[in-house]
Amino acid sequence: MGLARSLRWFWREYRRDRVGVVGLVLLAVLVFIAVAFPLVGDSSVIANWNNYEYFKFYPKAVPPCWASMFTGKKYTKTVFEPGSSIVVAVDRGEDGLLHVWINASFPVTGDTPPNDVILVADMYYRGGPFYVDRFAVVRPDGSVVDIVSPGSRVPLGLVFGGVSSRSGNVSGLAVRLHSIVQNAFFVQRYVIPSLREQGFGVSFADAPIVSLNLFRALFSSDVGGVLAGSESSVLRGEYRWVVRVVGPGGSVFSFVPRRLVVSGSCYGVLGTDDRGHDLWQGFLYGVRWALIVGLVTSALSVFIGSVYGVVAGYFGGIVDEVLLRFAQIVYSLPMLPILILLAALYRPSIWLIVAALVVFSWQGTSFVTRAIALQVRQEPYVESAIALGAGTLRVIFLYVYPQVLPYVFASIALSVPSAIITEASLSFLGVGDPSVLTWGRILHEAEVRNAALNGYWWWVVPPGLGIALVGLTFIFIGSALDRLLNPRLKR
Amino acid sequence: MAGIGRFLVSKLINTFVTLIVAVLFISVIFAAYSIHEKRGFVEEEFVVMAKYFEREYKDPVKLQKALEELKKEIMRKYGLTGNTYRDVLREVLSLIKSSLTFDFGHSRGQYFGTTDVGEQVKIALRNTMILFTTATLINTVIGIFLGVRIARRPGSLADRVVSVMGMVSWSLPIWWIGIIFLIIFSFYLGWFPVQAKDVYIALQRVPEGVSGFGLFVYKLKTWLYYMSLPLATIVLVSFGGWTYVVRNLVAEVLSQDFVQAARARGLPERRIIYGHVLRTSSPPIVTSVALALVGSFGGAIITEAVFGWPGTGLLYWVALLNGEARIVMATTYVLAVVFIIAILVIDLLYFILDPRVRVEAAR
Repeated sequence: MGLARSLRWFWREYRRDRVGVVGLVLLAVLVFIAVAFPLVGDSSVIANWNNYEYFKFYPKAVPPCWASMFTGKKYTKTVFEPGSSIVVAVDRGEDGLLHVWINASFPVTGDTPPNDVILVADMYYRGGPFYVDRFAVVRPDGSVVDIVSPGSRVPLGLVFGGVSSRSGNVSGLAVRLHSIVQNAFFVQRYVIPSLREQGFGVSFADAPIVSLNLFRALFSSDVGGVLAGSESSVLRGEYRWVVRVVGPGGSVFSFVPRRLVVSGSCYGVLGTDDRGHDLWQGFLYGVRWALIVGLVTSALSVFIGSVYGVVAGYFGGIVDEVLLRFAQIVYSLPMLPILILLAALYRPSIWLIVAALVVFSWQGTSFVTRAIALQVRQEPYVESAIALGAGTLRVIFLYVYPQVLPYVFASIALSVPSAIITEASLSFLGVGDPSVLTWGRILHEAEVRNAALNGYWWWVVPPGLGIALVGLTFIFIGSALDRLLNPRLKR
Repeated sequence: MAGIGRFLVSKLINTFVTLIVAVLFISVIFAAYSIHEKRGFVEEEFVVMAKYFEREYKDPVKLQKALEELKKEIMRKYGLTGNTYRDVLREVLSLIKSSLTFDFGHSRGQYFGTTDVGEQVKIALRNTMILFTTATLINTVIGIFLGVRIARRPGSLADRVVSVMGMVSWSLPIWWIGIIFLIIFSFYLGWFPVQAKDVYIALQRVPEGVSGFGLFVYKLKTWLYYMSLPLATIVLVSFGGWTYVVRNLVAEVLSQDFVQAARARGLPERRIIYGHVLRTSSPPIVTSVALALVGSFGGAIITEAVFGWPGTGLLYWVALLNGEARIVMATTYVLAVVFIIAILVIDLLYFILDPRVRVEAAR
């Protein structure tokens, strides 16, 4: 029977096993995700996972947006508006001064206020001093909350977080609405007078409470109530953030907005963790390492174990005795504690961890293949091959080893889950490869930062489900192979 | 009887060799690391002192001599000779000595109320034993009871559910289920404590006027309250696999002729199952269950870290977070020894249960 025909036979039989087919489909999907990650995911998120700066503008520890289906609350989506959506207008007014208008509008879509609204820009200016003479939020209902009242002269540096008010060249300046709104000086000097003018009953003595609640109040339909500390629904719609900068006539002021970030109360497919990591990207990327660790470990350990077992079984006698004893000794060593010690002391790379996993997991296969080889070597065809003068290596690999292949294939698939789980356990304890993002490491970060105690389920659930999914995929395939190739076990 | 003796001796020798290998292996790993670390200390100290010496000695020849002397002195202070092999060997010997006397030195920080590493490991090991043994007992009972019932009705709904659970538990880390349970039962429902290590604080807070039997009930209640969630996690994740193993083995025996014969003799079903079938399938059950135990052991200790159960898993967790290599080493030592001895006990149990082994050994 030719190889092609036996493969065809194999495929026809395999196709009839429904569980096996499900496993194969799952495997195809997983392999696709692993290989095509640069297409389906965002590689720069993974490359910058340890870069705190990169995730500065992401909302922290927010659930995925679809979670609103269960909580009934509509979250405010996180929006990254490009810089082009921000209108900057420069004119030299009749008073001879330089006026710069910055006008950014953004949507608030949910029942919860955004976490923050951040304007990121490059700013180049000289010939100051510059002043901010207007800083306001225009709400969808047309009402205006002034943070810096029109016509006032607040030095630029006071509003834009510590930059010089005279001249400077700042790239990546981040203006955070939330922190500006909490500024006690602005609240005392401008916000409260302006609110009183609009008829809200706030007194100057309330300043601490006002600065605490102002950001929430900005986005609520009952501004006065929220300022007094009560709850209110969110006013949805398009908000406008208006800033006006004034400088001397001969000055230069260039303001190039890069983007506007509405840091919402939900993010993307799987939310974010408390440092703003996009967890969906981490989840997708985890597939890659789970497959690599699982497959490489199980393929190597099963191959080594099977050859070891066949050699022991084929030679028998004292060789068998010694090899078996050795395998039993390694088998009786507790894998996880020793791996923890090794990993904790030497902080190995992921490949060394894989190698260590192989060292501790080849013995199981060797016991079974040894037993098979013990039987097979007494078969007439093996004896006749030996009688014809076939070399030992030839007999082992061409006559005996093929007999254990069915078992080998099935057990490669079946030992993938435990390899993945063990690697995940090491990473979970924080002794995995720090340069590689695995599901275990995401879970470690979640545990260190008390995700469970804070109810951040979106941080914890997906990596575990991923491990289970990959594991089940291989169990499906393995058990289908087992039924097909080892008919003796058919019940 | 001599055969039995030989069987026992060969098992004991096997275990002994394994123990020696484990102890040597762990010692060498740790010794190599600690020698490396000590060399770092020596180098650091030498650099600092050398600067001082350079100012002191103007004559370069004298300086050279003094520096050499200095290096030797610092190395002596740390117990190094400069010869890697000899250093590692010395370290290994002292580690083996400390493992025999259970004297692992002191940790930098205080854990479980003490800095004595040996004491910490003792406390942790006791708590791990309490949790893991209880879980194992519950699993055994559920596994045998359910496995036997399901084996009699192959293909039933319960059968399929159990085999699916077995598959799922095979592909899941136990500790992850632990985190999920914490979120559901502690965070959202608030039924159980968030951190199990508070059990000690709770035990201190005995209400007034309680003593004798009442005190015992109070303590038991407190332990159970803090232990229930980790316990439930381990049991729920692993009982499917156990039941599945028992079911397969019992089903195999059920199809044999002697069962038919027993039925034909009109023996009550209960007696056939528990007297004949279970007796026959108990040796392989013991082995498989031992394997399952070994398999779930690693996951179970990490589960302790998740729940803050003050066992070896939590000790690992805090030691790893705080870079206490000594604690990690001692815990690994003790776990390895306990693990190897447990395997020996299971082997002996198999020996007691299976008459064939006894006969073969006696031959």
